Order: sequence, then structure tokens, then C-alpha cells
Amino acid sequence: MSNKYYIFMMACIVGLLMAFTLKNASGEYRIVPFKVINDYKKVIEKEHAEIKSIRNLLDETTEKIEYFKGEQAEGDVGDALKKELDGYRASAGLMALEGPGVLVILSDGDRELIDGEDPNNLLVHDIDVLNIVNGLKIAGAEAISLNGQRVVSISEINCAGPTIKINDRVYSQPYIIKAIGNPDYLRAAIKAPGTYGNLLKQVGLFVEANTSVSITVPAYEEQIDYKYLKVIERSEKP
Amino acid sequence: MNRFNLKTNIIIGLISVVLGIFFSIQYKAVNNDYLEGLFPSQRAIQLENELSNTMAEKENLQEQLEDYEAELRNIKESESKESAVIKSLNDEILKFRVIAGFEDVEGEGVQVAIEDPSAEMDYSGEAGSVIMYNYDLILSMINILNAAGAEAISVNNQRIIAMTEIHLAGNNLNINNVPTAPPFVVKAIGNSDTLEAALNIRYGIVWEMRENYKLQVGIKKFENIMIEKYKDVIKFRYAEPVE
Repeated sequence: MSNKYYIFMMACIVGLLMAFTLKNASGEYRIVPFKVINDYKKVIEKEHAEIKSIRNLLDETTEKIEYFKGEQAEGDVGDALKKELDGYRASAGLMALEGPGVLVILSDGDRELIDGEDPNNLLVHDIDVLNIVNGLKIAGAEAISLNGQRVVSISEINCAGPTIKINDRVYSQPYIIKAIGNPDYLRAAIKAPGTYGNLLKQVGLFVEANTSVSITVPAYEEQIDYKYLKVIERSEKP
Repeated sequence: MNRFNLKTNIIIGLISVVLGIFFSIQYKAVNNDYLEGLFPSQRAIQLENELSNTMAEKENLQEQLEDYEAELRNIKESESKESAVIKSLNDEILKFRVIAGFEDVEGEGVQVAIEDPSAEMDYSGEAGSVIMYNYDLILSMINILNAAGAEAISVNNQRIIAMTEIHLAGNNLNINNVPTAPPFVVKAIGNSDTLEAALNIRYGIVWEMRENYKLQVGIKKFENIMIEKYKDVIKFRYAEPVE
């Protein structure tokens, strides 16, 4: 009698377990590696960042539409366009700007070399200036100049011995980098431990960064003529 | 339970064995889930749905944006036909928009693909992308392309504008505040022979990437390559025009 109950209980448990295991195997609970989950999350993060940018553009565009409609009603489209033009001239780097920011001075180190040390260690290289300028951009710089030359998208920075070439002009050391933005963030980008600027200073190069309430950055001077680049014509929507 | 017969014992025995087998299958499944970082495919399905919803939202917003941009253009250019002044203002605006990076552009150029070392070549034994942690190689490549006359550059379709940053944040490389990940595709418009030669000079950037970092780098020249516009706004909060 109790034997039969025992067998009955066992059979029930086995049955339940079998059903559960088979459900597992059916795919609903199949396992997926961490990397796949992580990849999904990364793509989702990227899509969210792009959505944020599109919203920024939407806000700006609707504001401009209202503004232009208003000006159009008053017959002042020309004036509105002149304001637009100034805005884009500033974004293109073709307008001198001023504001609070930081002044960075960078030059070769002059301490004694340790026995067997590579003298290159104490020299400023292209990559050093590139990293420092990048650090300022991460800290929100709105405009940057290097030895009086505006840094724009097509600017090149070439260090060769005691001189630096930027925007096809050659300058000698020290290298003076000016940046407009939040002075504290910008200064921290050069001085804070762990930053590239701080690392260079520890190695022995001369690196100084001072905040200022008024930094002036000149306009990009070169004439820009595109030899290869063409704008893609937008097809007009019906 | 005095009267054990063989048949009953065998049945109980078999059932116990089967029970044991199922228990161990379940135990193993649960063990794997938590110790080796595996997730139920339910989670993957959830994320897939979230991704497709997010992408649909983005497409929607993008279409809205294109409509508004077309409307704005129409207003701005409405008097171009009647007034030469208006037309020339609009032409100048387009010119500056191009320089600032706000327009899709195309032209002759090159495309460089940078991938992490293949499994056999990765000696470091670390989990982590070589090219991502050494992102200043990309800064260097952009600089070299500029020196060789590049007129527009993008990295993973992020347009490189004056204040574009490349920022290692967590497990992503943020460019223009948008997370990107390897492989990295660098596009540049300019004289394709000159650009390619500048990249390939002896002991130059591509040599350094391959020799010192074992990265896989491929360069292709194009008669026509398209580079996307910068897709955000530029706001000046600290800088003002000089009086």
C-alpha cells in the first residue's frame, strides 16, 4: 500500500521535472552569452545618443522656422538671413571669438637626462599636442587656437624639432594653446592627475595651464577652396 | 513494508535514477546561468524589442526633422528668385554650413578599416580592444589625413568637425558624444593617391598600427565616397564674437 503511494509520488515528481526540462529545451529559456546581451545594450545606447542629437536639431529648426516666419511677415528676411550667416560663420571657425577659458603653455623639458634616457622623452611631439587639444575638446572647449592659429576640422599639427606647423604656418616653441569654455573644466583637463597634460609634466616637459576671464581666439585665416569635395544635392520633397 | 518483491524495487529504482538525472540537468542549467554569465534568451528577446522600438523612434524623429528642415529652407529661399541679395546670402550660408560640417558631402577619397588583432596575433591576453584603448592612433591618422589635404573626414560615420572629441568612456569610444565601437572605418575626401601615400609612408601611421599594435588595417581608394554631415547642433555658451 505505502509502496504504491511512494511510486505514485515519485512518478508525479518525475513527470513534473520532465515537463519543466522539456520546456527549457524548447527555447524559451535557452541561454544566450553575455557578449550578445552586451552588444545589444551598446547599440541601444548609441541609438539613444543619436535620438538626443536629432531632438536638439528639431528644437533648433522649429525655433528658426518661427523666427523666420515672423521676420518674413515684416519683410525682414534679409536681416534674419544675415544673422543666420553670422551664426554659421562662427560655427565654421571663421569668426574671432572671446570668452572665459584657459591658456596652456607647452614646451620641451630642460631637466638633466637620467643616464641612458632617450632625449626624445623631453621633447614635445605631434601626438602630445593632439592629445592635449583632444582633452580640451572633451572638457567642452568651444574654440581653440595654437600659437595664434585657429584649430578647425582640417587643421594639421606637425612638430618638427624646435618648431610646430599648423594651418601651413610654422612657429617656434613655446606652444601656446588657448581655449574658450568653462575655465575650471578646461584647466582640469590639463592639470588633473591622470590626464595627458599631467603625465607630460611628470615626465619633465614644461606644461602650465592658467584660467582667464577673457581669452581671444582668432578666426581661421586661410582661404577654403574645395578641390575634391562636393555637396550632395538634396532632392526636393514634393 | 515487509513484502518487498523484486518488481516493485526495480520500478522504484528506475524512477529514482530518472529523478536523479532530471535533478542534475536542472542543477547544471542553473549553475551555468549564474557562474558563466549566460542569460535566458528571454532577455535577448526583450533587448531585441527595445532596440527595434528605439530604432523606429529614431526613424520617426528623423523624418520629422527632414520635413522641418525642408520647410525652413523653403522660407529662407522663398525670395531668392526675386532678390539677388537674398540669393547670395543663402549661397554664403550654404558655404559656411559646408565648412562647419553640416552638409553631407561626396568626392574622391579613401576609406581605412581598422580592426583589432586577429585572435592568433593578440599576445596581450587582455580582454579589451587594442584600437579603442589606443585611440590616439586614430587622432594621429586624422592629423595625417589633414596634413595630406583631406577636405572632410568621418570616423564610424561621425563627421570630424572643429571641436570633435574622441573620448574613451567605459567600454565605448565616444565621438561627438555618440558611442562607437570597433572596427573603425575612417573616410576622407581628397586626392586619393596623396591620402593613400601619406598613410602608407615608411614607419608612418599604418606601419605603426600594424607593426607595434598588430592591428588589421585595410585602405581602399574611391573615385567617389560619401561622408555624412554632423548631426547635432553647435551652441556657444562661453564664446562670443569679438567686438
